[in-house]
Amino acid sequence: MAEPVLRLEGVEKTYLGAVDTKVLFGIDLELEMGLFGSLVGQSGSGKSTLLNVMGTLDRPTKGEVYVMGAPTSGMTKDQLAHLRNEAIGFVFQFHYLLPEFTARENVMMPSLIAGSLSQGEARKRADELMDLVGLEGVKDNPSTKMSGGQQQRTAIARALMNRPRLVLADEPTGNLDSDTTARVYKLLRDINRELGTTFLIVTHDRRIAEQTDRIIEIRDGRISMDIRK
Amino acid sequence: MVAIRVAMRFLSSNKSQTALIVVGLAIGIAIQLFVGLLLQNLGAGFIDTVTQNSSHVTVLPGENATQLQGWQDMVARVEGIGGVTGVSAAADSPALLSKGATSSSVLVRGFDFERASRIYSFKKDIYEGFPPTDGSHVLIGRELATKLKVGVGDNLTVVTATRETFDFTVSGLYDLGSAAVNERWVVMTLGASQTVFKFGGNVTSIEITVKDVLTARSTAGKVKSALAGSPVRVENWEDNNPSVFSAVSAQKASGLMIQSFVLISLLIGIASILSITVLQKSKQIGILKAMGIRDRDASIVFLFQGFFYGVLGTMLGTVIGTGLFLGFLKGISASGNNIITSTLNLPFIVGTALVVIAAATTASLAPALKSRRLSPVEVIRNG
Repeated sequence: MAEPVLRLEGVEKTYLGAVDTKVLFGIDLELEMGLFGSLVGQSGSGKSTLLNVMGTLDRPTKGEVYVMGAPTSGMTKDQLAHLRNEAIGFVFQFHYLLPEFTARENVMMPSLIAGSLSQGEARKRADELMDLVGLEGVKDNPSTKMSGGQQQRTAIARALMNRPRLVLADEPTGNLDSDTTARVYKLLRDINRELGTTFLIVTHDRRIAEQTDRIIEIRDGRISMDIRK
Repeated sequence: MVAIRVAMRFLSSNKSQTALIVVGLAIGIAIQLFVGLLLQNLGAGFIDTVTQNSSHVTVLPGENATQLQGWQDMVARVEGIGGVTGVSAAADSPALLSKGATSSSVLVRGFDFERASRIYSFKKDIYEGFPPTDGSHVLIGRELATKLKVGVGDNLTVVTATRETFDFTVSGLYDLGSAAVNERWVVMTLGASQTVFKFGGNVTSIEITVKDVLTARSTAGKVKSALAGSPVRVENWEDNNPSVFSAVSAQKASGLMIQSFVLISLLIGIASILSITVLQKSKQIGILKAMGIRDRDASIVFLFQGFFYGVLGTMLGTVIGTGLFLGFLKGISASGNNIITSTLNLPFIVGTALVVIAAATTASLAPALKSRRLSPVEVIRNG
């Protein structure tokens, strides 16, 4: 069997403070290559924390996160940064584009950080991705001068820039109207099929989750359900 | 490099803020340069004014002696000392100078005129006539000429302490810028003075000037060593004018203090501005870190901004500062004041520029470290 893109072993997360808060309890999980899955749960159930731990943005208090088979607990901050840049794309609830840059420059940014492509190559690839997500006419717009849907599609194109194996999306349509939401999900699904990219989408909307191939439900920091279609 | 690209975009995306910071810095640097140049030139001008037309180091006869024997050998030895710019032997004696019924107590100074001109600005300050070229002529100062009512070509009588009289013709009139000197010094050739006062081949002092008057004391030490064995005493300007010297030192210290405080305030300004920028841009840095920018590069974003502010502020400040100084000089020279010299001390200007650029970059270290510590998850969690 092929190595899963992501594997979690006994992951726990506790936020230390005046009162320690345990958010995740012994999570074991594998995300197989090419998956189009969803992570559902109520507010405060720990799904965003789990996503951050999966994306190596946050370290687990206990347990191990394997990305492409490599354990991450012993990695330095720079090694984690390199891993994120190379293997993981993020789409956040709020698009989190850099307001100082144009849409195209935002899309190019992961490649500029990696330094692996020339300026021309990066630009060409960014243009292809922007065409793919339907942003032909607004490539040179400042990222602040676009509609919410365009901004979120720019964020999706950016997440795909370095051809990551895994894209983690946290409520990517949380701020969009229902028509745009439907278009964005169709887009993610198409990319999943065409490029074979693994997607895990956090949502609290069951209807969206039902359109995915696998639904993982988290409740009070534990996986309460894991259904494959 | 992505860090510099991001830094440049941060700077250009808020042009008015960047311009304001650069102008603020430039004003600080301009003040720094203006005050520095002014104090240096004022100090130099003041010292020049005080020490010009005077001997910086003087070799005098030792105890119980009034004349220097073998002075030619001494002059040769002193001339070899580093930093010495002029050496002139003088045969001096008090005398009475009379014209008709009017007489005045004077100091007759016998010089080798060429050598003396390296110490005293006679060549520039003779406003009528010529220096004495033979044993029958004297040069007198403006005030003395007025007092005795004589001019070039008039005859005068020198009366020595032994009541001997010698007649001279006035060859020229000088004004050394000091009424006391102009009224008292009567200049003749070394040979004439030696004859009048019966010095034989001897002189009464050897006068020495040095390149940097503030080294007069150490040069005096070297002169003393060079003349070891000869019965002489060596005096220097620094020891003879302690109050002037301490005034110059105090001025230097106060100038240094003003410049230090201006520099410190510049540093605090840059550090605080960049700290605020880190706060303003923390969201962007968090996003970049989520995308995989390394901590080092996140720091460089702010270090580069500090460096950029430093370079641009320094360039503009240098132009304003030197312009202000030159304009100020023009203004005061138009009003007839020339106590300030007009040297644009290039090493000082370049040094200040480099210090400010280095300081601006250093001041951005704390914000850069703050940016390094910024966790992407905090930005994402808190929006």
